[in-house]
Amino acid sequence: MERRGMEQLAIILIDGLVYASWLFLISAGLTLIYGVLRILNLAHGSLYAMGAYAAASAVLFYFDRGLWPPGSYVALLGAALIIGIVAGPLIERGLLRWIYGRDPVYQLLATYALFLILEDGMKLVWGVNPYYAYKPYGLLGTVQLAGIPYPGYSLLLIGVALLASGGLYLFLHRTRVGRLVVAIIHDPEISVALGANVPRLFLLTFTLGAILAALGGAFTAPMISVVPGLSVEVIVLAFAVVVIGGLGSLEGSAIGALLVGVVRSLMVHRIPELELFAIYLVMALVLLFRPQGLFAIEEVRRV
Amino acid sequence: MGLPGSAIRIGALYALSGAAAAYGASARRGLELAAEEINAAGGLLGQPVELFIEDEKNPIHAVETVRRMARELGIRLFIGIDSSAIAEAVVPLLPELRAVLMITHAASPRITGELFNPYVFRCSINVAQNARAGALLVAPLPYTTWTTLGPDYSFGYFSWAYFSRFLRELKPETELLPEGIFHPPGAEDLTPWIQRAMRSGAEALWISSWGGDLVRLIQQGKAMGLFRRCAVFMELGAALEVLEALGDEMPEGLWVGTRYWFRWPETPENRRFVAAYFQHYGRYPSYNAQNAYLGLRLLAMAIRRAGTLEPEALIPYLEGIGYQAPMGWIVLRREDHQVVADVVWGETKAHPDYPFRILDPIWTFRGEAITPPPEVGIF
Repeated sequence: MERRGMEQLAIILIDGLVYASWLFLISAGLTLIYGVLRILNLAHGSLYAMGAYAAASAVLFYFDRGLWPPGSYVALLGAALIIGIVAGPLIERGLLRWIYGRDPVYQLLATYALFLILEDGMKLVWGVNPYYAYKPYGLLGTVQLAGIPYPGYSLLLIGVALLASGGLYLFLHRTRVGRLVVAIIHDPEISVALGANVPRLFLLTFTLGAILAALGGAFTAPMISVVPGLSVEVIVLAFAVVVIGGLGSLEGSAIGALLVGVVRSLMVHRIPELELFAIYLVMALVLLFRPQGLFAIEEVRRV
Repeated sequence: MGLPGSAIRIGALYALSGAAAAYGASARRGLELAAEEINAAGGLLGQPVELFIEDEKNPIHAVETVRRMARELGIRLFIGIDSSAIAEAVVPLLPELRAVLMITHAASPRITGELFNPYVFRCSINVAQNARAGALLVAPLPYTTWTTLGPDYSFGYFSWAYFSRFLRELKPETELLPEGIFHPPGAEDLTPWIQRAMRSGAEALWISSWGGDLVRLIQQGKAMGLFRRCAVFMELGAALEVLEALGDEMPEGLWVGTRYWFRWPETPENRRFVAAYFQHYGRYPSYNAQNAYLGLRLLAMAIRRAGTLEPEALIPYLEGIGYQAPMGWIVLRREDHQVVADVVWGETKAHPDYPFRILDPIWTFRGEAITPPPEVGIF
């Protein structure tokens, strides 16, 4: 009984960690962009979906060539980078820079319009039939964790999320440009006064956020059938995680993702009826006691 | 309608986008093949058949589309519908529109049960028949402890309710675990639910997940060793849409069921259909392709025999009729307009001639043996 209880606990934690990794990948970019640009990008889910489609196409193309299978992970990564580096600057230079500092309602309408355009654009490019690019999923086989079998790919997903969060941390706190980004998050006006090149940093941050979204989509693609409509679910979940963590806070998103991941996994295994409700339960509880979210960035009072 | 030079218009609704799009695409192929064959043989009542195929999308959209097609195009004959939720929304409209609907996929028992009206027919296997065939298959096997893994919406619950009831009737010592395991449809990561199934203590699993969910479930289940842990019976695992998507990733020796298998029965009708389909599209017909083909063939036969397009005049020529379909001899039952037809199960096996797993050996269950009595009164 004791042993079974421990096993159950291990399963809940590992399942929770896998889901949390996925949540972090989809929400980190959204919160980073909000923190710096002060725009809630409703088209964030579309960047995720484009990453998934590009990765699925890349993987199918890769295996059609009969190339060395483990190289397909590089194809996943490459697809995410290409989407982020191409779509990020296009969206930032083409749309967002015109609406900085405008009424949030304008910003929401503009990014919502972008979401609708991208949604149909993806149907034009990739069609409406599902893409199955599962080869990289099966390659990693089964891993035994504390005697419990897990798909190796789930662990890869945890690894990707850890690398992404570690990389972001080092970038933001150990590089000059990163420190400037942090400075803008905390006080845009002083940063400008100190000579930060804001337009360049905005472009850089948005591209980075776009790469994160595409990365989430790309590494999810081998687990799923890539179909139209992926974006909607993702933006809802990512927004919930970001609100829990506090808008603009990366640490908040990481903690929020972990919290939601573990609570959901607890429900799947103990109270399956409530599984769909898990994320909203966490959100409601957090907002009840901390309406600004767990790690909200402090607003400078303007006199 | 009925003027010389005009066409017989038939409205079709299928899932042409989204997670079930592969099913809609194969239904469309079956439908277009039937229309082409009918027109090549001179059409019906001297007129060609013209198809209006639309994406069913969701219940609200489907209801609007059916109304629009009836109003603007004068369509009184409909065919199709993949989703049960959509079929349940459309069926109640039919008497008001005076339109006949031939359902070729949606399997909800309510369509030929509490929602039944004389304008609706179903030429595809329903949930109860699928479950009954599954129960007959597994009853002689040595498994006593069972649970289910299925999608968390009405289909998953209906499937498990029927299967467990039929299995208990056949084998009273069966032990059913108190809770079935239901995953959210469309969830990316199904491993938590697979994990629960593997640790539930069940010797055998009844799996009702289908389409993209089933593809993921098999992939992720394989990576977790699910198929080594318990015996697994997938009622819709032999849908070609699933087998083609998985290719050689599909494990061998798994028990899977389908509502039609292109290599069975070995009748001239089936051989001819499979050959014509292959010649047209370079692939084999799935159950959904066969069902759509059959549905249009049945409507065409009724129109020919009735000599009219009036819906009320057609109904007697569909009610209770028998037909030699590619899937074998079928009857559209008089009481509830449900088809009585055979169900196929088999074990997955690699075969050098096919890029996907085929069934070998196969087990078939007679329509009369798997069809429960009608659940509606006689109208």
